[in-house]
Amino acid sequence: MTSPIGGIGSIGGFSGVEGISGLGGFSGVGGISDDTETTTKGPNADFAGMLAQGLENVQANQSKASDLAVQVANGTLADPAQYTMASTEAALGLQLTMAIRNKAVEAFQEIMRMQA
Amino acid sequence: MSTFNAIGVAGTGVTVYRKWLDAVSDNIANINTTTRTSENAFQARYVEARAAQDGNGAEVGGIQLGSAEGVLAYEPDNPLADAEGYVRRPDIDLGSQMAQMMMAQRAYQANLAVVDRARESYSAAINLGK
Repeated sequence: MTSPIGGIGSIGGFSGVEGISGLGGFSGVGGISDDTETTTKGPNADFAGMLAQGLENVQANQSKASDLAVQVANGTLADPAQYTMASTEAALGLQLTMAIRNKAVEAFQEIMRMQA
Repeated sequence: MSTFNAIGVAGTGVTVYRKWLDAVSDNIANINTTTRTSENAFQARYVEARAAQDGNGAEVGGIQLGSAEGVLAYEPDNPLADAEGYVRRPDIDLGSQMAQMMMAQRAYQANLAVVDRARESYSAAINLGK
């Protein structure tokens, strides 16, 4: 990966944080490289796709956790650990979403502060 | 492969060891279950653990049953005793069941410890650069 923030892509070891490596798509924006293909393809297409997929995952985790919560209330859940693990996963997913959102808002504000 | 895979994988282990604990509790609950000599004895339940078919964690492959013959015990006072005074008792060793219970319990706890550490690690990754 040749992007300036390619270092972040090395986090790909964590399957969940892989979405950030999609930021590599920004490499064409720099204009430093002659890689015109990246700019014609639309630099954000890849990242947006990953973001959407990540949000779908978070949504699935949330609904799984709430299904299990209903089972806890019913008294039909065989293993309480299943619920605590699902809710942990859902909470982590939401935290990851918030972290990415905060970063995006931060970047947006950074651009808004730019002097003309 | 989900976002937080370590939690899901450790979760499969938790499920396997919970089932093992269930099997042990069933065996111990029935350790004094006597039957007529004309019937099968209570058969001990043994959980068969194996690697998950999708490659993520472990799963229960099946339940193996112990001896249906059991052991014959001479209890002429027992209402279930046959003409010679014998009844059938399950062939379950309490010592072995207690050892299995400890193994299952510790492995269950170990898997939950993995979940806890994974949560901490993912949390640290999310908070990176905050």
